[in-house]
Amino acid sequence: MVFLTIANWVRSRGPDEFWRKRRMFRLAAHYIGRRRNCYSVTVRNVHRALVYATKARKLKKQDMIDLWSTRITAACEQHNITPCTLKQGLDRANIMLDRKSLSDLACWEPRTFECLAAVAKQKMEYDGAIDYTDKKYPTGVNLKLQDVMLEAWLKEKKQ
Amino acid sequence: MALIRAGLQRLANVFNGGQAGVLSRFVTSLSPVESKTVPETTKDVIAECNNLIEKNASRNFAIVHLLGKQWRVTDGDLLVVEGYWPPSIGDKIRLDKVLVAGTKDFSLIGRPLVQPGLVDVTATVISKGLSHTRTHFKKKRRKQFMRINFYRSPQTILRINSVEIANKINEAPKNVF
Repeated sequence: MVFLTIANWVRSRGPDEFWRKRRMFRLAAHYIGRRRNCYSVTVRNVHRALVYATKARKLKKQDMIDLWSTRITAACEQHNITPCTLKQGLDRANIMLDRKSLSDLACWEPRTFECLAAVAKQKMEYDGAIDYTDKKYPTGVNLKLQDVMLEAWLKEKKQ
Repeated sequence: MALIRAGLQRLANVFNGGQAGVLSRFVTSLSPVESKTVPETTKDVIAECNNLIEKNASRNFAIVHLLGKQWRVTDGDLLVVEGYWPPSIGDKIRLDKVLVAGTKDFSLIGRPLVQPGLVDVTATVISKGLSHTRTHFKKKRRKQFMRINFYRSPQTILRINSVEIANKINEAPKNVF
C-alpha cells in the first residue's frame, strides 16, 4: 500500500490495532458521547446494532404483514364484513389477491375494495356458509351486483 | 358509476355462450340456459364501460403478479424486483398475469386472472444491478461466537410503459397463448 503521510506509513507495519479500531469507529460515526469515542464502549454498541439490523430484516417483513392486516380490518369494518369472511369469500370466488394488494386497494381504490367486499359476502351467502357480516348494515346494497351477472359466475364451482 | 363497477370478467363467456366455436374453451363453464336470462341492464353497463374504454378518459391501474408478488401498477411506475430474474436491460415485457384492472369508473376483477389479451401491461427493463451491501452478523454473548457475512442480492428495475385495456369487454378474447 502507498501511504502519503508518515503517520500512516508507521501504522502500516506491526499490529493492525489502529485499523481494526478505526473500522469500528467508522460504523459508530453517528453515535454520540462515549459510544462514539471510547473503543470498549463503541465495540459493544456496534455489535449490538449489527445484530439488530440482521434480525430486523425479518421483522420488517412481519411488520408489513401486520400493517396490511390492520388496514384490511379497518376497511372491512367500513363495509360491515369481517376480514376472515372477506378472505374466505374471495378465495371461494377464486379471486387470488393477497393481503398486500387488498390493503393497497383499500387505501387507494376504495370503490374497488367495496365491490370485492360485496362479492365476498354474496359468495358466502350462496355457499350457505355461516358468515359474520353485519345483517343490519349489509355490504354493497347500492352496487346492484345483479346488473353485472354476478350470480352466474359466483354459483359456479371452484375449478 | 357505482353500479358499473364490479366483476365484469367472464361476461364475455356468458354472452358468447350460445355461439360456440370462437370461445370453445370457455363455453363449457356455463350452460346456455343462463346466457338467455341476461338482464338488459347488464348490456347497458357493458356498453357504457366499452364507451369509457374508447374515450380513454382516465389513467388505468392494474394489479399484476410478478415473481411471486403482487404489484399495483400504473403508467410510468418503477418496480424494483429483487432476486434472480433472467430478462436483460432493454427488454420489453408484457406482464400477462393481471389480477385486477381498473379505471376511474370501473374495475375488472379476474378469477384469478383477467382473460388473456383484455388488459395490456407493458414494461421495459431499465437496469440490472445489485442491492446495497447487507451485513449478516451473529453474536452469542459469553460463548466466543461471532460470525459476519456480507451479501448483495440482484435487483432489476422495471419501468411500466403503459397499462391499457386493449380489447373491448365482452368481445371474443384474442388467443394469445
